[in-house]
Amino acid sequence: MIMLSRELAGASAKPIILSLLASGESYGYAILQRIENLSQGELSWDDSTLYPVLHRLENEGLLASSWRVAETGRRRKYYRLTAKGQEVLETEKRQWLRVDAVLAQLWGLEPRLA
Amino acid sequence: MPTAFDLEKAVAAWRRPYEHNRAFSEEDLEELEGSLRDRVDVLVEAGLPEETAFQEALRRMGSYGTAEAEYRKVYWGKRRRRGEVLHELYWRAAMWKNHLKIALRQLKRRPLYTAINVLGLAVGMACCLLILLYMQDELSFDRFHEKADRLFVVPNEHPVEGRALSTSYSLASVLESLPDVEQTTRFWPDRERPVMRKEVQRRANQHILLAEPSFFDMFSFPAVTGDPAAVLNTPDGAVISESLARMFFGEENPIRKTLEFEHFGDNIYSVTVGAVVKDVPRNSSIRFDLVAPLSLLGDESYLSRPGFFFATTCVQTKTAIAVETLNRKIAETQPEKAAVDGWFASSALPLPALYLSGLTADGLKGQPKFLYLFGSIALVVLLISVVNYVNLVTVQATQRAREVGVRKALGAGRSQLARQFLGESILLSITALGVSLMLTGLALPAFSRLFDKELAFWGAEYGFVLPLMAGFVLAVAVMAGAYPAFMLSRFQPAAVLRGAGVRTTPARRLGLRQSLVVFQFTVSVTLIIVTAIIYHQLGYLQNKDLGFNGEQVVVVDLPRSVSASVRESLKQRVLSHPGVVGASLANGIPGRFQMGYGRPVDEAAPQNRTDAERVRFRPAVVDYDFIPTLRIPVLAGRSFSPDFPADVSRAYILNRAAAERLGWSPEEAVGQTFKLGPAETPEGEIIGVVEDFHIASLHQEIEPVVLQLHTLSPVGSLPFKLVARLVPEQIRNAVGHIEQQYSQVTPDASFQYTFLDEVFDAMYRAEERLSRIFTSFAVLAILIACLGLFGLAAYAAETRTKEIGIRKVLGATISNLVLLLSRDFLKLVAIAFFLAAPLAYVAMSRWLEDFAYRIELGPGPFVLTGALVLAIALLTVGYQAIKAAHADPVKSLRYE
Repeated sequence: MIMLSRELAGASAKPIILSLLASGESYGYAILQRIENLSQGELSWDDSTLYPVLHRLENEGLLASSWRVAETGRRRKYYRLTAKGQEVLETEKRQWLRVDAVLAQLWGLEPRLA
Repeated sequence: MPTAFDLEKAVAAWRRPYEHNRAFSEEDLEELEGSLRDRVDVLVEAGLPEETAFQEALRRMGSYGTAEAEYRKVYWGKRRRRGEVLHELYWRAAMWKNHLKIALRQLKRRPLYTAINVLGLAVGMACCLLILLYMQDELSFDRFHEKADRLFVVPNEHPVEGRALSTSYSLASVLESLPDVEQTTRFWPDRERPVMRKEVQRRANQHILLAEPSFFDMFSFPAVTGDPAAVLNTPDGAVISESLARMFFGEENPIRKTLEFEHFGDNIYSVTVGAVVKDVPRNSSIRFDLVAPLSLLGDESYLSRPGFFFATTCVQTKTAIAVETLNRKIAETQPEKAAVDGWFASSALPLPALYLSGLTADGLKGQPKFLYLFGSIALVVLLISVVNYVNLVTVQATQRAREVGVRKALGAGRSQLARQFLGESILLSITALGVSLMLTGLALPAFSRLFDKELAFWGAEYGFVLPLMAGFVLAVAVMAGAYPAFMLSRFQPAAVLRGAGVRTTPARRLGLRQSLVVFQFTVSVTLIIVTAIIYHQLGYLQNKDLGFNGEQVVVVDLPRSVSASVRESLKQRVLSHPGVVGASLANGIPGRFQMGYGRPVDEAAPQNRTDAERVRFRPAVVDYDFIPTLRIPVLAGRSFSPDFPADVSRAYILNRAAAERLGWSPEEAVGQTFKLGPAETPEGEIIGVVEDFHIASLHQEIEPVVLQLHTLSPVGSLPFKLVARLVPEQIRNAVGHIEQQYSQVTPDASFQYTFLDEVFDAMYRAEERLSRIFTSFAVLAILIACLGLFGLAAYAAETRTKEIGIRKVLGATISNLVLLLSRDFLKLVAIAFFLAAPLAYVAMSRWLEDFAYRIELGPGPFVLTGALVLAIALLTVGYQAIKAAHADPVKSLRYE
C-alpha cells in the first residue's frame, strides 16, 4: 500500500472526484468504493476526508447535490457534475497530463497518453 | 457476560459528539450516518458479526478529530453558498451573550470568591495605574517645547566638584562658533525673590529669571500680549506670567506699568512690563513668574568676569542631531577656549533629559531612582495580583470539576468549555478594570500630593498609560482564563463524576503555588520591615537634639531696604512685648546659613598655620543676643558682650567642630588668634566656643561654624533675619505684636515668618514622603499576600476534606485539626521571613549610610514584623482551617 504524501493526496482528490462524477452522479460511499477498486486498495480514503472535499467542490459550484431515497429506505445525497465542473475537469486533465509528460521524459518512460 | 451489541445504541453513541458540534449540520450528519450504515451492511453481508462490522466501519470512517477539522474548513463556504452568513453571525453573537449570561450567573453564585478575585486584581491594577501615571509625568518634563528635539543644555564640570548647571557667561559664545549650533541662550535660573508694586503696596515672593532675547526664541512659552523676545531686548523690559499679572494688577492692563524686585547683591531693580505669557506648565524645568533682561545686572565685561558662574547655557542645533555628535564637537573646543578656574564645559544633554539628570535645583529635581524603584514595584505588585487571580480562579475551577464533568458527559466540546471559562475571566477582568479605575480616581489626589504633582488620566501629551492598561487587561483576562480552561477541559468526565476529583499535589510539597505565596510574603515582610525602619529614622531626625531649642523660636524675614538703625529699633520694640523673651538679628538661622549671595565659604588662617593649611569655615553674622536667644550652650570662654567693645571688630566664636578642625579642645581654643577672610583682614581672637548646632539637615555632618558680630561682615551678609524666642502660652499674641511692629517700621513690605522647628521638618519632606509611600506599599503587599494565602488555604481545605473527615471520625479535636491545617502554611510564612530579613537589613543599612546622623539597626523592627506577619497569616489561614474542621465528616466521606 503506497502512502501518498499529503500534498499529493490532497491535490489528486479533485481530479479523481470530478472524473468519477463525469461518468454519472454518485453518492459518497459509492465513490469511496470505486476509488478503492480502481486503485486496487492502494488509495483508500476516510469518509471524514472525502465528504468535506465533496462539500467544498459543491461550494465552488463544480458539483450539485440532491437527496434521493435509496433502495435501503434511507436518504442518500447524490452529487453530479455541473457545467462549470466539466470545464474545470478539462483544465485539470490537461495540467496533469502535461506534468506526466515531463516526468515521463525525465524518467525515460513512455508517456501514458498523448 | 457482556451485554448484547445494540447497533442503534452504538450509532447513537457515535453521533453524539458530532451533534454538539456546529460544524456538522443535520444534513451532514445524515450523510455520514448513511455512509456508516452502508459500510456496516456490506461487512455484515460479507459474514462479519455485527459488532465487529461496526468497529471496522468506524475505523474506516476516520477519526472525529480529522472530521471536525476538515468540516470546519468548508463550513463558511457552505454558509455563504446558502446565503446564511448573517444568520451565522447572529447565532455567534447570541452564543457569546449566552456565555456571558452564564458567566455572570456563575460569578453571582459565589459572591465572596468573586469579590475577592475582583478586588485583588483591581487593587493590583490600581497600584500599577498610579505608578504608571507617575512615571508618565516624570518622563514628560520639558517635552512641550516646539524645538525640544534640537535643544541641549551644556553644564559645567570640575574634576573634583563634579557637574553643575551654572556655567560662565562666555561659554555660550564659544559654543556658538560650532557649525551645528544655530543659536545659544543663557539665563539665570529662577530665584524666589520679593517683587513689589509700590503704587498698591503689594509685595510677594515670585520666581525671577534673568534671560536674553533668544530665550523666548528657543523655548516655547506662548505669549498672551506683547512680544516677549522684543521686550527682553530693551534695557529694562520685563515679561510676566498671567498669574503674576493677576496678582499684581488684577484686571488692569499690566503693559507699561512698573514693578520692582530684589536680586543679586541685595539690589533692587525696576522694570517695565512689556509682555505677558501664559503660566509656565507644571512639567517644565525652566520656571518663572517674571523674566527680566540679563543686562540689568551689568554689562558684558561684568557678566563675563572669571569665576562668576551663574548661567544656564542652552544651545539650539540646526537639525535634530544625536547628543553624542554634539558632545564630540564640544569636546573639540576644550580645553583652551572654555576652561575657567578648573571648570570646563561638560557633555551636553538634551533638554528633555534635564529633569531626571539630577543637575537641577532641589525643588525641581526628577528622581530617576524613584522611577526605577516604582517601575519595579508596579511590576511586582501586578505580577502578584495576577498570580493570585489565576490561583483563586483555579481553586474555584477545581471546585467546579463536577460541573465540568457533567457538561463533558453531555457532550460539551473542549473549545466550548474553554470559551466558557474565557468568558468568565474576561468579565471578571473588565469588572476589575472598572473597579481599579474607580480606586485610582479616588486615590489620585492624595497620591499626587505625595509627589507635589498634579496627576490626571487625560490631557497628557506623552500618554502611554491608558492604552497600555487596556491591552494589559485583555492579556490578563486571556491568560487567566486560559489556564483553568486548559486544565479543566482535560479532565476525564467519568473520573470526575465518580468523585476522584482533580489530581492534587499534597500540601507539603513546595509546588508552584506554595512558592508564589512565599514570594508574596517575602515581599510583604521586606516592605514592612523597611517601613518600620524608615519610620524610626524619621522620628529620630525629627526629635534629635539639634543643639538649640527651636520650638518657640520664630524667624521673620526683613526686607533689604531696611537700614541698620531701623532693624535695631524693630528688635527693641519686639522685645517690649511680655511674650517675647529674647530677640536677635542674624544673617541666617540654623538650617539656612547658606542663604546669601556672597561666597558662602571663606578661608581662615589662624596664627600658626601656613597658607597650605587654610581651613574652610561657614561664617555666620549675628548679634549679641543670638547665642542666648537660641540657648546654644557655651562650652568655653564667653559669648559676645557689649562690655567688651573690642568684640565688635576682633571677636570670633567657634563651634565645637570648628575648634576640633583646628586641633584644639574648646578650652584650648579660647584666646587663640584667628582671622576669617582675605589677607588684609585684621587679626582677631577666639573668645568662646559653643556647642555644635545643626545648620543644615541631618543628612550632613556638622560643619565648622564661625560666629562674628554684624559690623565685621562684608556686604551681602547683612543680618536680615529677626529671631525671637516666645513664651509658649503667648505665641499668638507675640506674633501679632511682632507683625504690628513690623508693619509700622516697614510699611510696604509683607510680613512673613516661620517657626524654626518647621524649617527643619521641611528638610525631611523626602524622608516623610518615602515613609508614607512605603507604608502604603507595605499595606498593599500584605493585603495581596493574604489574598493569596486565603486562596491557597481554601484550596488545601477543599482537597483535604476526606482526610479531615477521617481524622474527625478517628477522634481529632477541632484544635488538633486547625493546627494541622495551619502548620504547613505557617511554615511558608516562616520561610518568607527568613528570606526577607537579610534583604531588608542590607537595603536599610545602605539607605541609612546616607545620613550623617542615624539610628542603629537593632533586632526590634525585625522581631515585631515577624510577630505581626505571623498573626495576620494565622488569622487568614485560621478562618479556612476552622471552617474545614467543622465540616460534617458524614458529608465529606459520602462519596466513597
